[in-house]
Amino acid sequence: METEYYRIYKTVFYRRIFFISVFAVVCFILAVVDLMVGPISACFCSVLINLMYPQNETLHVVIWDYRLPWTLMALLVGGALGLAGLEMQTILNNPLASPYTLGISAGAGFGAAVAYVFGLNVLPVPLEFTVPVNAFFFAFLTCMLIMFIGKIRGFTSETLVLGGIAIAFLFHSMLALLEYFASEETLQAIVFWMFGSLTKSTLPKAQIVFAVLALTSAALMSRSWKITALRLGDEKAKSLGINVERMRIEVLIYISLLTSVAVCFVGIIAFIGLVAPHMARILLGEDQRFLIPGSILCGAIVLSAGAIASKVIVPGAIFPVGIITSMIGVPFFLLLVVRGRKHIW
Amino acid sequence: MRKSLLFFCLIALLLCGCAQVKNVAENKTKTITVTDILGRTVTIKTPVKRVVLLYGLEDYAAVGGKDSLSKLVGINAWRYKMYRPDWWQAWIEYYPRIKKLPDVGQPGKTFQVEEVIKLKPDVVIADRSMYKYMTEDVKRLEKAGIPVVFTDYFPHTNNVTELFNEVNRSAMILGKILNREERAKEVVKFFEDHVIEIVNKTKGIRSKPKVIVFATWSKWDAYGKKSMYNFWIDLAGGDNVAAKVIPGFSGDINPEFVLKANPDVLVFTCNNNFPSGQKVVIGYTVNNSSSAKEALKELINRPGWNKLNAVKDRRVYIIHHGLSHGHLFEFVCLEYMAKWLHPALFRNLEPKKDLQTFYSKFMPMPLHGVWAVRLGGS
Amino acid sequence: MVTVRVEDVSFCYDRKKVLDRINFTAEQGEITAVIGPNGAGKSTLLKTIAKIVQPDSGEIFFDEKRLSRMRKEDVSRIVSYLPQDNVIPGILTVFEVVMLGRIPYLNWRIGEEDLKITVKVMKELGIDNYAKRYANKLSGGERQVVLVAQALVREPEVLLLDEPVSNLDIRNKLEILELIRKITKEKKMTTILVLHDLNLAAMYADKVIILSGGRVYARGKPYEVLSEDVLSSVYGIEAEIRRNGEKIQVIPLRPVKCDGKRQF
Ligand SMILES: Nc1ncnc2c1ncn2[C@@H]1O[C@H](COP(=O)(O)OP(=O)(O)OP(=O)(O)O)[C@@H](O)[C@H]1O
Ligand SMILES: [Mg+2]
Repeated sequence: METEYYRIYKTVFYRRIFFISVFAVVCFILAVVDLMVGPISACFCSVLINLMYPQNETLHVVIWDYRLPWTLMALLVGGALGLAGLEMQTILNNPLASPYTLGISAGAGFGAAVAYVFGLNVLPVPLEFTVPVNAFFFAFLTCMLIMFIGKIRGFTSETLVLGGIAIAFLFHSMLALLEYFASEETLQAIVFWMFGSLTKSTLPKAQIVFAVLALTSAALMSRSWKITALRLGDEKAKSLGINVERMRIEVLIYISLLTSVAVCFVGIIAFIGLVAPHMARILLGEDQRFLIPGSILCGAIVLSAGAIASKVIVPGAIFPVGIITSMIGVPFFLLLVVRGRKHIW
Repeated sequence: MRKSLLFFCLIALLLCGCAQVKNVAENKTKTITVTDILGRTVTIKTPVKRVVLLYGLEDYAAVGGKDSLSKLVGINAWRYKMYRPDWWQAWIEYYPRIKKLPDVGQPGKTFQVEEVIKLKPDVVIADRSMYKYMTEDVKRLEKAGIPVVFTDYFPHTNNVTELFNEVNRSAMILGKILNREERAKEVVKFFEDHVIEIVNKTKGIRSKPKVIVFATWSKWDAYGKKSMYNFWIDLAGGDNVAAKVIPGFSGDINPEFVLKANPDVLVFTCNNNFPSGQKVVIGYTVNNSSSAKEALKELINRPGWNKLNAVKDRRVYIIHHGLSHGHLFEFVCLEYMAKWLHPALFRNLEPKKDLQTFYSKFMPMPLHGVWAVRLGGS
Repeated sequence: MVTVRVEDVSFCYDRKKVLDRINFTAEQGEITAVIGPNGAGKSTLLKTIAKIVQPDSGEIFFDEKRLSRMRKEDVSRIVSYLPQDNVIPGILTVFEVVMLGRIPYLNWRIGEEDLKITVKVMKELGIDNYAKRYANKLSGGERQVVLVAQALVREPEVLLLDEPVSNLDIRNKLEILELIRKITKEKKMTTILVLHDLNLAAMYADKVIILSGGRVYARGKPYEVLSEDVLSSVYGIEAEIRRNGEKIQVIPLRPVKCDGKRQF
């Protein structure tokens, strides 16, 4: 008798493992395709060979200096945004939340614009990093502002959402002010940055994103039960021995790190943080032990697919990946929402 | 009460009518009518003594001569400081009065229509590209009795006849307004002669070297099919390979595509803005080519580029963005393109010298500075 | 097992005094029913015992341990608290919802033990046949049972249930309370229930605490405290109370004054 229920649990468990493996396989396939697609055509074998050693010098350079960083960046940034979105929705208890709900994107955008317009650097870093460092700095500053509001008014989801929206408006208007005074070229650069683009990816940047993603996801995984409990409501979570406010702060810090690092290198890709967690949740349920890897993989899938499309749509030119991801992601997402038998939130 | 109001209105109407009649009477005596580049018919009181200039101080001075500068009462200094810091420096050094002129701003950005109205100019001169940002303001200005005239020297096509037509019309508008029509003709002739000289030589060219033009202010921003560079390259007998993938004016190009296309010539167009901000490396105020060379070295430091034909042959150039479009000396850009694309054919062509001649003939200041630099070469 | 002793506990929301020097003891192996009109402070009292809110003054003792000195995690291992509102958010199966009651004990890998207890409690409460259904697609009553199960899987020493049977039909009310009583006796749990149904309180509680306006109006065995006078002054109703030894039955008749003013 007992074993019967054990079996129920096991089937659910294995079904989730199955979904996650499917995600992982899709991710891998997309990554390989991403490596193969480009103006210089390359088959799977030549990609593989040139990854190892420079058989064809041009292809070797192309793969190592352009395609690999882009591919990795797409996977990692997608994953980081997926994870950040998941946790944002969880701690704010709001299905509409995304890493950008709290004005983080607006902050990052403002930071980037400051760099573009004034060439101002908040920290002494090499030129190439001016924009990302500024974006990171302001994104993180936004998070700190929100913390500050939470500190005064209590870390309830309402306070955070409303405070965040207010801050978002503040940064949006400051950004608009900067854009107003910017020259045409600068404006173009800012707008392009805001669309999100993988063109500035490099391996070291990918390494940074990887490190942050690995650390935060490990930290979040180790707290997965507590975070799951947050979904049951503040009172329930408290009665389960969880310090709800401290948990929110902790998770918010991880979200800040993830989002800031993700946006600062590739700009704003708004859609993934909202949708990847929902895709994962519909298929995996609320259990954070599965949702965390699931959301990371879903985010990676969506952005990789977007990256491939951005290369294919106008071969030779670069279409902003942020635009593409929404365009290909929305129909897929709607399909899940409309056709799925389960509820969404 | 009501009666008196009616009476008042009547009086007011009458007065207005009188004023209008009087205006018409005045207009008849001394006005000119010009058709601007947009086809708008504009009536301007003459002689023109007060001018607000939103674009093209160079062309204004070239056509109007030195004394036309004293007619300026307002200027779009914002644009100069933002896009042509070196030219701005030159102008205010030779003519400090320009620095003190009120800055009326850039249409669509910082333009202040009230400031313009306050200055009571006889005419406002603007560039065609500004019209879409100031349609409402134009109406306001016209209501205030201030005519606005649009000109345009930008090459919108590789059809030489059309280009000449537009440049000619624009210059003649200036000539008419400033009462310098003879001089305007001279400038246009100078322009046309230099273009024709190039075009005649490149007409029959079969083997067209591949070239890509990048902007310095954004890493992968290349000039596409509808850009002036595409037309110059076309006229100079080259193949702008970026036009194949960028159908519009400019856009980000896939870095791989550059490696695959393997251009023979690479050109960077520089308005002294870089992703990191403004830094003057080329132009009127620059004394030697080292800063531009430094910038070039930085710009071509991209993975795989040392394998490109252009880089191997050192056929990598940086050019001042102001030469490429929007001015009566834009033929210089065409000359540079021709020389860089077909060095043997244009061995005797000296674009800088031609620019020098233009300056000494038409501009109220001598030519200084560095305008185009080749990577590492002679 | 622990005895819960509430000593002089006062609590304010903003300026409003909600609990005013509450004193009582809940013994192990007994069901203590807290009754009183809406807004009397019953839920708030339970929250102070669950350490969800901190009393402004006074102290709660679990045996001799002061609740204010205990860590939240430790409290959560001893106390199970079921809030009054029974919503179950999220995409969770009934099985998962019940299992989440064991969060204080769960490791990253769910242990055999946790699964066993979950299954056992679900069976006891008769919800095992919808283990795989999604919890927020259940009826209000079904959901309430699931949440009671969630409170029970923790195998707490102190069980705090805020109106655990308010949405159930009459049979289920009796069954669930029966079960709670059984477990309370077996496990020597200290159970505190908030109930609105005075008859159920009289039937199942070993002790009744009547809260009114944040104060303890009366406490003791049901047949001692529930009287016509008490009901009249606490609730403002006329009622008939039939007594049969220690068993009593409350038959409400009418409100004393129909002035339309609510007491809260
Ligand atoms: N979060 C809060 N903020 C301010 N006041 C509150 C809050 N929660 C409850 N109160 C007030 O405290 C008093 C006691 O509330 P409590 O929920 O403890 O009542 P209750 O006895 O459980 O009532 P019911 O039988 O309706 O559940 C009420 O007057 C209520 O208005
Ligand atoms: Mg209550």
